[in-house]
Amino acid sequence: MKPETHNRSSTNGQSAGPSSRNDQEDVPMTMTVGSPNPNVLTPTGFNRHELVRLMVQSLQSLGYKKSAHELEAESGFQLESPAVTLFRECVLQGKWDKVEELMDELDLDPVHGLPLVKFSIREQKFLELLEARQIKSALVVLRSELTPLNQNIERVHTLTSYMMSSSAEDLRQRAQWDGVAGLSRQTLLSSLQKFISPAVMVPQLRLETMLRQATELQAKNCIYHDNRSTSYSLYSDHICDKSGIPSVTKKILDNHTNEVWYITFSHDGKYLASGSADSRIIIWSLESFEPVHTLQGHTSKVSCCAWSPDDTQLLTAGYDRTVKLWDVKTAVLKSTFQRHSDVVSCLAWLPDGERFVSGSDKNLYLMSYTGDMLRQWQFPVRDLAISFDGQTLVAMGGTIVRLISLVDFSEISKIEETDSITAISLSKDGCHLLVSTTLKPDKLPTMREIHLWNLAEGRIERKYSGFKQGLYIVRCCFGGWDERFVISGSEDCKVYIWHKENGSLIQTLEGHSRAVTSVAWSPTNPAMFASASDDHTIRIWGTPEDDQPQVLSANSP
Amino acid sequence: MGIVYKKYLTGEKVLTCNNCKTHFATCDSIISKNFHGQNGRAFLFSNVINVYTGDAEDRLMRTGQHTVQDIHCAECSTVVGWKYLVAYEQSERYKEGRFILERTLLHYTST
Repeated sequence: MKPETHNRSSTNGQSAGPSSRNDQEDVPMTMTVGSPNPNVLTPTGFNRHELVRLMVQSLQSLGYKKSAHELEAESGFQLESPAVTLFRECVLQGKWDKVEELMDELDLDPVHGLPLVKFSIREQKFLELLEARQIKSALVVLRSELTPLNQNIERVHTLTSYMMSSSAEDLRQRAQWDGVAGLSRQTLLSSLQKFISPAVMVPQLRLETMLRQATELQAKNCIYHDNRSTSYSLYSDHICDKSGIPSVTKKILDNHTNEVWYITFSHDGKYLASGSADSRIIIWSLESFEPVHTLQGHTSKVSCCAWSPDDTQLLTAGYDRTVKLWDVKTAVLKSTFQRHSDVVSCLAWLPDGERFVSGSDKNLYLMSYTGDMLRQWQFPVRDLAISFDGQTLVAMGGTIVRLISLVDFSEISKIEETDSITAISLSKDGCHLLVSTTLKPDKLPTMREIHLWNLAEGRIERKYSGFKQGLYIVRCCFGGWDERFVISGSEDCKVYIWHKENGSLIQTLEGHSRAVTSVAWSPTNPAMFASASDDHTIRIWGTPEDDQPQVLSANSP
Repeated sequence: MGIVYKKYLTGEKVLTCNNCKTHFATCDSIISKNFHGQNGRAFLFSNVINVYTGDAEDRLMRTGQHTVQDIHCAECSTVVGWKYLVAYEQSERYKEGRFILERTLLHYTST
C-alpha cells in the first residue's frame, strides 16, 4: 500500500509542472483543436495516443462501433489505418488474394517478417482448400505459392502429407487445426501479430489483456489467495482474507497409544495413513474420521509409510528394519522384505506401482513389489521423494541431496547444504524442493531454516524460519491452492505456516501438547492438512468458514 | 520423542552407544584417556554428537568441586557420561564445556 501512495504523490508533483503553463480549461481545447501530438502524456505518464487507441479498440470489441468512431473523431487518433482494418477483415473472411495485396501496407521486415507472414497465410489457404476438398487448387498453392518461399521446408513436407487425408474431418485431426468454421483464422491473425508492429496493428483485446495481467499480479501478491473467488471486480484491488487458510482443528484422531511419527494422505485424498511408535499403522477415513484399519505386524516403531500410486497398497517400514506391504482394502499383510540391516527411514513408490525405493542409514534399495532387488546404492538416505512424472528420484542424506534419473539411474545433479539436513519435501511440479536444515548447531542450538531450492537452477530461492527443531526429525511440506504455502511441524508444539513466495510467516497454530514432527497437506482438498505429534494424536486442520459459511457470506459485499 | 535425528561419523574407530549403537565420537578426537567415571575408565572429548544434556548439578569429584550435567544418548536415553559446565579449581578449568564418556558404556565400531 505504501509505495502506491508514494507514487501517486510523485506523479501529482510531476503533472503540476507542465499543466501550470496551460490552465485546466485549456486542456480540452488542445484535445479537440488542431492535430493531436501523439507523444503527449496523460497525467499519470501514459502515452495519450496509445491509450486512446486501446480505448477505441476496446469500444469496438464491445460492440460500441458508433462511440468508437466518435472517439476517433474527437481525439484525432485512429485505431489503425484503413488498410490494416481491411487486412484484418480479409483474413477473417478468407479473401487471400486481397490479403496478399495488402501485405505491403503492413510495414513488414522484408527478411524476417514478410516471407514468414506469407507462409502462414498461404498455409491457411492451402488447408482451407484441402478442407473444401479442392485438391487440385490446394496442390497448386503448395507447389507454386508455398514451396517457392523456401521457408520451413519441414513444414512443407508435413503439409504435403496432409494431401493424403481422406476427408475434411481426417485433415482437421491430422493437422490439429479446427477448420474454417472454427477459430483457425483468428488464430492465424494472432500468430501474424508478432511480425507486425503493434503500432501498425494493435494486438487484439490489448486493454483486456493488460487488465488480466493486473488481476493476475494482484492474485499473485495476495498472501491468503485461495482461488475460491473466481470473479474479480475491476473497481478495487483483489485481496483475500485469512479465512481461506486452514487454521482451526476440525478433528483430533487419538487412537494411537504412542507418538505418531509419520502421516501421509492417499492420492485420492480419502484416507490418511499414520505410523506410530506404538508399532501400528492406522488408516483413517477422512469422511468419518474413524480408523478403517489398524495394521499390526511391525515389531518396533514405524517410521514411514507410502501409498501405492493407485492407493490399493501401502508400504510401511521402521525400526524393526523390515519393509511391509499391505493390501489396503483387506488390511492383509502381503509381504515382508528383510533386506535392510538398519532402521528404514524412508519409502517411495515408483509411478508404475510395481517398484519402490527404500532408504536407511547406509543404503538405498530399488526393489520390485515381488521382493526382487533391482538396484542398490551405498550412501546414507534419510528422506526420499519421487517426482510426479516419475523421472527423478530425490534422495537426501547428511548434507547432500542427490537427484537420480529413474530412466537410466545416473546421477543428474547434487545439491549440498553447509549444515545437516533433517527432512525434504518435493513440490508437485518437481521443480522445487523444501530442505529442512540445522543451521550452525553449535551457536544457535534451535535456530533452524527451511530452504526452498530451485532444482533446475540449483539455487536457494527462499528461506523460512521461526520453528524449533532440536533432537528430532521435523517434517515440512507444500500445500494450499497452487501450493502457495509451506508448513512445518515444530518442537514447540506448534504448526508453522509460511507464504511460499514472500517467505513470511503467516500463522502458527497451537493445539498439540508436545512436539509436532510430521505434517501433510491433502492432495485434493486445499483447505485441509494434518499434523502428527508426540502427544499421540493427529489433528486435522480446516478453514474457519466451514463452520459458519452464512456469517461470512453475509459479511462480504 | 519423535524420530531422533542422528548424525553419523566416519573413521577408523567410532565410539558408539553400547546399548543402541548410536554414534558419539571418533577415537581420534579423544583428548585424554586419564579419567575415571562411576564404572571405571572414562575419556575426555571437546565435542560429542547425538546426545542431550540433563539438569545442571554440583558434584564433588577427585579433582574438586564441579558443576556438571549428565549426558544421555539421544536415541535410547541411557546416561553415558557428563559435561563439565564449571570447574571451581583454577587448574581444572580446561575441562569446562568438555564431555566425558564412560568406557564401559561404549562400543567400538569401524565404518
